[in-house]
Amino acid sequence: MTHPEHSSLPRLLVWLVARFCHEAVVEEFRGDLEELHVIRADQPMARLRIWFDGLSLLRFHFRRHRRPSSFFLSPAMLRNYFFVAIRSLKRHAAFASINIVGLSLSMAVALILILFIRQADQKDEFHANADRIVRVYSDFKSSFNRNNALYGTSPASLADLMASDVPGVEEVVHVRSGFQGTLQYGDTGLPLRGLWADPAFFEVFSFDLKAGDPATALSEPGSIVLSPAEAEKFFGDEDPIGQTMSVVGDREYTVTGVLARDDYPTVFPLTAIASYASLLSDASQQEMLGLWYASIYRSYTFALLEPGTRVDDVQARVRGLIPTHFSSFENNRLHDLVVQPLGDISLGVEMGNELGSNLPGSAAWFLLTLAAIILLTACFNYVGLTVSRSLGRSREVGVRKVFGAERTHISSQFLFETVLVAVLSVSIAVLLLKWLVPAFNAFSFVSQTGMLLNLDWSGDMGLYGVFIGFTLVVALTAGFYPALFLSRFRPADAVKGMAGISGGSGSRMRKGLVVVQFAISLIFLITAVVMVRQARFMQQGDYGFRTEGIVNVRLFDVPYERFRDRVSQSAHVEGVSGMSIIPALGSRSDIWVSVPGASDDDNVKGYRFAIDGQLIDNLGLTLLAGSNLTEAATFEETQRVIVNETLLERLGLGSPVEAVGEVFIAGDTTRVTIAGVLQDFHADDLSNEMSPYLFFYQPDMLGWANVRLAPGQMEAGMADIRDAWMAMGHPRSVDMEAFDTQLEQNFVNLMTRDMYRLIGFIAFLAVTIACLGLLGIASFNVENRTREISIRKVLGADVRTLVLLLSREFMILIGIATVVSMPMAWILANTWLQGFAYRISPGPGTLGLALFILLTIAATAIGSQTMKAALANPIDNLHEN
Amino acid sequence: MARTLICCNFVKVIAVRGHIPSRFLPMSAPEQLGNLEELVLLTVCALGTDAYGVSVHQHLAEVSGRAVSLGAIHTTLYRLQDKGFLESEMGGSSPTRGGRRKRLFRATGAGLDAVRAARAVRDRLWEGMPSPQPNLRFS
Repeated sequence: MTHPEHSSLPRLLVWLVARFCHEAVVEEFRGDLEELHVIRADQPMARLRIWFDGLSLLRFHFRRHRRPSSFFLSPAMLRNYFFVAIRSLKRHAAFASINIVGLSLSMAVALILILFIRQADQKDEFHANADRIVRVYSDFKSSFNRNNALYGTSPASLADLMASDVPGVEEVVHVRSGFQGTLQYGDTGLPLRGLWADPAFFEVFSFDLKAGDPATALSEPGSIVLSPAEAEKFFGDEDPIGQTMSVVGDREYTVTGVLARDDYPTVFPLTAIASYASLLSDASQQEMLGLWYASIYRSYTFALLEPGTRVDDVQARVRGLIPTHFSSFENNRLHDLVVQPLGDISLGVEMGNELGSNLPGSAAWFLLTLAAIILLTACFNYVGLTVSRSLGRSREVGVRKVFGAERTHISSQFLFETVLVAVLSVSIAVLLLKWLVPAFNAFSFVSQTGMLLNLDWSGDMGLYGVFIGFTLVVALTAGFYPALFLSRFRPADAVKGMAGISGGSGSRMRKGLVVVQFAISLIFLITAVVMVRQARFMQQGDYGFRTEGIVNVRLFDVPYERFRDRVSQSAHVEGVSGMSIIPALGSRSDIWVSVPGASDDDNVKGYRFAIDGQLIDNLGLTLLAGSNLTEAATFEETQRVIVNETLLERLGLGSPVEAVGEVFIAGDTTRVTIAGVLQDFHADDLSNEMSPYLFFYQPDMLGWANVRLAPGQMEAGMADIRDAWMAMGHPRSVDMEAFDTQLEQNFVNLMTRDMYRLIGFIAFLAVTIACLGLLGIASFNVENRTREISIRKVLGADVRTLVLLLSREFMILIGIATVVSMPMAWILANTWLQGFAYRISPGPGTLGLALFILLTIAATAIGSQTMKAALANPIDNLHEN
Repeated sequence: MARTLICCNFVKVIAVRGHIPSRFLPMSAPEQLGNLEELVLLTVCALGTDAYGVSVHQHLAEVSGRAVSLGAIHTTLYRLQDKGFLESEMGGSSPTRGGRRKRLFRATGAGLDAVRAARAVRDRLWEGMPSPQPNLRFS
C-alpha cells in the first residue's frame, strides 16, 4: 500500500495520534482523519474542527486497546522464567556446563579470598567492650634506624601515665611480648612463645577461662595461663591448675588458668600468658621497663575507655604526654603516639613489631583485586558465550515479543537465567571449598601467621548474606549485558533469523571480551613465570658459601666446645664450626659502623656475627687479605674483626690489602681493628642488598654449630649428631636441619614460592576459563558455518586452508591481546622484582614461554573445533534433512 | 457513595495495567444500550457494508443534525464491539484516506436483537400515546 505524503492534516496532530493511540488503531484513525478532512475541505473552520476530532480520538483512545500485560515480577512470570531457564540450560547443556565450570571455579577462589579477608576483618569483634578498647602505637626513630617507622608497640610506662593523667580512661592493660624459652614440666620440655599481661587483661578482653579464676589468674608473680592445646601437651589428662613449670634460664611458674578456646578470632597470639608481675619482680627487667626507649620494642599499651569518651580527645591527651615524658634520648626520638581502636588493628596500617597474626590492609586489597579479576574473567566468559549464541535465542525472543512480551519480560528472563547459573555455580563452589580451603591454609602466608581459614560456619548468619550478595553481584555483572542485548531484537528480524548475525555491537563486544580475557590471562601467566623463576633463583641461588653436607644444630644453652668435642668424634664428621646466627635465614643482629670522626648521619648499618676459628674453612669462605681469627685470643684480639668487601666499600677503606690493620668504630664507641677481609657472600636472603658484615671471635656467644658431614653420609652423620646430643644428657631433643632444607624453608623464600603458587594457580584458572570460552565461541562459530565449510571443501579447499580460515579471527584477537598485555605484564613483573635486591631479569624467554603456554592451550581449543569441521564429510552437511 | 465510586475507578485503572486479575473487579451490570449507542448501532445497520468511523459520523450528523466528535463515535463503536453487538474487520482503502485501510463494522445477531428490543420498548410506549388532533388542512 502507498502512503501519499501530500496530506493536509496538521503534522502535530498526526504525530500525537501516532504517539498516543495504540498501534492497532493508528492506521484506521489516521485514515478517518484524512477522509474527514477531505470531506470538510471547503467548510468553514475545517482546521479547527479536525483538531477537535483528532484530539477527541486521543482522549478516548489513549492506549485503550493495550492488552493488559503481566507485571514482570509477578509470580506467574517468575514461574515462567524459571521453567524457561531450566529448559534452556538443559537444551544447551554444553554451553551451560562451560559457563558453570568457569563460574564455579572462579567463584570458589574468590570466595576463599573474600572469606579470608572477612575473617581478618572480624578479628576481636567478639569482646563485650570491643568498641571501647584502644591500642596506642608509636611513630619512632630508634638509634638503629635512619628514619622513623611505625611500631605496634609503645613505651611500657605509657599505660600508667594514661591511667593517671588521661581523663576518660577506665582501665589500662600492659601487654608485653617476648616471653619465650623452653618451658619445662617433668620430662617434657617444649619451646614456647607467649605474652606477659596485667590482671586487667581478662577484665578488658572477653577471653574466658575454662579453669581458674580470671580475676586473680595474673595477679601474682610467677603465674601463667595456658591455651588448652598447650595445657594438653604438658599435662594430658591431669589437672593443670596449681602445677609448677620452669622456664629454662628464667623462673618457676604456677599454672593459674587455662583458656576456654584455642581459636579466639584475635590478634593476640594466645599460647601462654604470664603475669606482668613476674616481669616486674626481676630488678633488671623493671629498670629496663622504666626506660621508654628500651621498653618500646616489646610493650603494648591497651586501654578501655569510659563509655562516651571520644578517641580524638584521648588522642590529644596522649600526644601531649610525649614532650614531658618521652623526650629524645641519644638517637631515639618518639615522634608520635597514635590511639587506634582495637578493631582497626587487623587489616590496618602495616607496622613493625605487630602483635602477630595480622593481615595488613594493603595485602587485603591485593587479594580482593585478585578475586575481582578472576571473577570478571568468568563473567566475561559468560557474556561472550551468551552473546555469541544469541542467534539461536533470537527466534525465541521474537516469538515471545510477537505473543506480547515486553522488553522488561525478555531481559528479566535472561537475567533470571543468569541468576540460576550463578546459584548453581555458587553451590558447586561451596562444595569445592571443602578441598580448596585446606590447600589455601597450607600457604605459608596463611599457616605461618596463624590466620587459618575457618570452615566452621554454623551460626554465622552474616555469612549467608555474603553468599547471597556475592551470587547476586556475580549474576548481575554477568547477566546485565546479555539481557540488554538479547531483549533489543526486533521481533520481525528475530523471527527471520536476521538478528545477532550481523557484525553489530554484539559482535564487537564479544571480540572485545575475548581480547580482555586473553590479555588478563597473559598478564597472570607472565607474572607467574617470572615469580617461579625468581623463587627458584632464590632457593637454588649461589649464596657464596658451602651449604651442601652442612647440618646446622641449635645449641640452646650447651657450651659450643662441649658439643664440638663430642660430635667431632664421629667418623662421618669432617668439620665443625660455630656461629651466633645462621646466615641467609632471615635472622640478623644489627650493628652500626663508621669511620672515626664521622658524624652520626654517616653511620652505616651492618650485621654482626660471633664465630669461631673454623668457620671460614668450614663454610668455604675466601679470605682475600689478612688472617683468620685464631683461638689463641689475647685481650687485644677480641677487638679484632673480620669484615667483608662491602664494609670496606661503604666505609671507604680502600682495597682489602690496604684495609688490614685499619681501625673503625662499631656500635657506639667501640674501636675495632680489621684483621682480615672476606670475599662478599650473602648472609641475608636475596631480597636484600649486600650489607657490611662484621665477624667477632666470641666462642661464648655461639648459638649454632655447623657440622660438615662427609659427602653421601647425611643419614649416618645426622644419626651420629643425634647420638652426640643425647650423650650430653640435655633435656631437649636435638634441633638440627640440613642447611639446604633450611634455605628452602626460609620465610622469604617460602613466601615467594607460595605467592607464585597462588598467582600461578589463578593464572592457570584464568587461562582455563578464557580457553573454555574460546572453545564455546569457536564451536558455535563452526556450527554456524558448517554449510560454508562443506561447500568450500567440495569446491576444492584443503583442510589446512579451512583450519586457517576458521582460526584466523581468533588468532588476530589473541594477537591484539598479546600486544596489549605484554607491556603491562612487563611493568608489573619488574615492579614486583624491585622488591628483590638480587633478581632475575625477565627476558624474551620468559615472555615467550608464557605466550607459548597460552597459544598452545588456545590452539588446542580452537583447533579441536575447526579440525572437526574441516575433516567432516561435506556430503553429510549438505544433505537436506 | 462517591468514595466507593472513586475506589472502583481506581481498582479498574490498576486492573487495566495488569496488576489485578479481572475476577476481583466489580461485576458489570447486564448489557443495555445507551442513547448514543442505540443511534450508532442503528446507523451501522443502516449503512450496511460500508459502516466505519467517518461514514457513521457523517450519516449520524446528516440524519440527526447532532455534531458528535469522531472520538465519541469510535469509543461507542468499540464499546459496542466489546459488548458483542458489533463485529469488525479491516477493509478496503481509498485515495481520500491516503491509502489507509478502514475498520468496517457489522451488527451481530445480538446487535440486531438489541436494536429490535429497544424499538419494541419505544413501540410499546408509543401505543399509550394519545393520538394527535388530525390536521385537516390540505394545501
